[in-house]
Amino acid sequence: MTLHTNNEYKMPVGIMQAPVTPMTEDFDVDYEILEKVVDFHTRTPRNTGVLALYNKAEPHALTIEERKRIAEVTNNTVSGRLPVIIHVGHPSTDVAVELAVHAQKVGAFGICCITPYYWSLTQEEILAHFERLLDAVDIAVMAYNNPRRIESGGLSTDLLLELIDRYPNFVGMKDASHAMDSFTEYCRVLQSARPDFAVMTGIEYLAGSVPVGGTGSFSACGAIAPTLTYDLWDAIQASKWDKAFELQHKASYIHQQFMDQYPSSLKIGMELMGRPVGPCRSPLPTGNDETRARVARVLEDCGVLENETHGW
Amino acid sequence: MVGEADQTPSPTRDSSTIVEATGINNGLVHSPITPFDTSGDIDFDLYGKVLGFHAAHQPGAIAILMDAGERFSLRDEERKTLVQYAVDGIGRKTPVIVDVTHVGSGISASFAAHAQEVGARGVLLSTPYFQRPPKHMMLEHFRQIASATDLAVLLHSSPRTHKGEVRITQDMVATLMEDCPNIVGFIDGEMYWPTFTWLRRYTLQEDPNFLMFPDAEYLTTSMPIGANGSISPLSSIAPKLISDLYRTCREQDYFGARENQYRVSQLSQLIRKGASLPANMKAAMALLGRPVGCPRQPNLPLPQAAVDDLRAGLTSLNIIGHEPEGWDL
Repeated sequence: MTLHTNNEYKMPVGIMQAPVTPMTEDFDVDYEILEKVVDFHTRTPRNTGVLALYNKAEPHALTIEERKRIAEVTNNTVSGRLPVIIHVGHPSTDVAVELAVHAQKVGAFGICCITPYYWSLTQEEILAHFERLLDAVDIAVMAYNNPRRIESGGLSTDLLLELIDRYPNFVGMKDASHAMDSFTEYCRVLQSARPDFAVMTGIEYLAGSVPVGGTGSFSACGAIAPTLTYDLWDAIQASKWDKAFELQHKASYIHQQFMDQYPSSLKIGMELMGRPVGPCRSPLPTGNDETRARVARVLEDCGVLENETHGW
Repeated sequence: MVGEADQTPSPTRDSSTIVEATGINNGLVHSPITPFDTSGDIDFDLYGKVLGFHAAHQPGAIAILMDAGERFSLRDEERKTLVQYAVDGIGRKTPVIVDVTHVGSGISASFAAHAQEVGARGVLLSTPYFQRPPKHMMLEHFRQIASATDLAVLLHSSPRTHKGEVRITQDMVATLMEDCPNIVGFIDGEMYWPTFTWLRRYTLQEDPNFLMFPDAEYLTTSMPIGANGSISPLSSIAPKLISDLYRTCREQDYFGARENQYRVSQLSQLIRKGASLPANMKAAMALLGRPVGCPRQPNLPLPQAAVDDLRAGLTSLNIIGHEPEGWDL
């Protein structure tokens, strides 16, 4: 049987921005700057949503109370202009459920949850984890698949099909496997069960994923080079493949350069673009002068300093 | 190829002569099985039919002795004999590329030298299996083999099949491109968008003729980011489907290619289910009227129940009924 998603749960198609968590020099969350970051992303033309507390926001180095406050500040700042999704992943199902319920309470459009990291779980245990989340909320829910970082490996299509079959608000997955073969199978199998099921890449690997059914991505580059990011999306939608090739390679190169000390290199990049967001919390390093010089070279080489927006 | 604002350095080398000498004239590189008779010996008559079947579909090249060709179940002399046979049989019309992978650098180098001696057009070289050498010894391994031949050398990184995740990284490719002018291509068995895209960008900047292929037919996901085509074991089973997919992607109709890519993806899963790739492929070929015997041990032939499942899968994918049956096209 083919299922369809109710409009109230349907994930937008395109690229969603994911704010970093700004820190003061004392490593406290800087909520004032957070509002600026979120507002910047919300005003970014062609952005289709905001994902709070994604990996680049350092959620694993934040207290539960900090995560709740960031969820609230993000939702209030966006203020209905775009859908807000809160990442609620945590090794404890109880905590993930608590964060999910809180996300619904503050008015989020949906939640996204990574497979519990650290534990090596069976597919049955992972299924039970997502069942608890889906039973606890009545907003859109996305699964976040990141087999390279998770002891349990990837989410099986059988598990995802079962969730699709049972929960009308299970509406998408964020796939950070970035693997050509498994991504193709996720699209083929899951969209055959529910044609509007969102299958999004973790970050902007779009030129190879959209043709097989990818519905968009979350953004690594959008804090630095939003125009490049959305030009890539538009080129693919228009089947301008030579342009898409060029932009995909450029976005990918920027991403590669930011992988070193991610997200500290990214935070340095934001500072160079006139949007300072402070250091990273330990154990992640804060970018130093060497990082700054390297990132500056990358931004210059890729035309970002010249072509993208500076300041807030 | 990269952005206008991107201060792209000039290429540091030009491998056009070496790449042209391979004779590869399109990006679909078939990789055939090796048939054995009931005694377990190589069935050369049948091998001639297998090679002729592939050549008739006009691939860019035929890469023999890859996983589908059971290279690791063959003796060294058998490998050399097969190479000679393939080159003599089809080499004048279809470029023959030889997988010379072996765990020992010296043996692998001798295969590379032999491939050149008998008229192959290139060699293909994977990481040494079983061993997990340190990086400097991996580089030395590849250098030794590349220096044993003047033929084009294509590196093959396959961390999913070579346990221990031994892989050829971008910095290793960069070093080898600098050290070995005949290393002109990379076959990617990881099919991971970030590393594929990073390496494609780097290699094009350094050498616009450098070739890149995924080692399975995920063309819609790789050609938009610069793959030249793919290695194709499935062309033994569904040559029409694979050719159609390749043609559509080459025309950059990537959205139009989706349905065929889905079918290929399903076929790829089906052919890797349960048993080994050669066992499944040989069973599928038998179902399509091209019996090629059993795999060599340790790989066992499919049990009857698995053959029945395979038949049902091939039927539901419209492979049986729509793809060539028997040896004639």
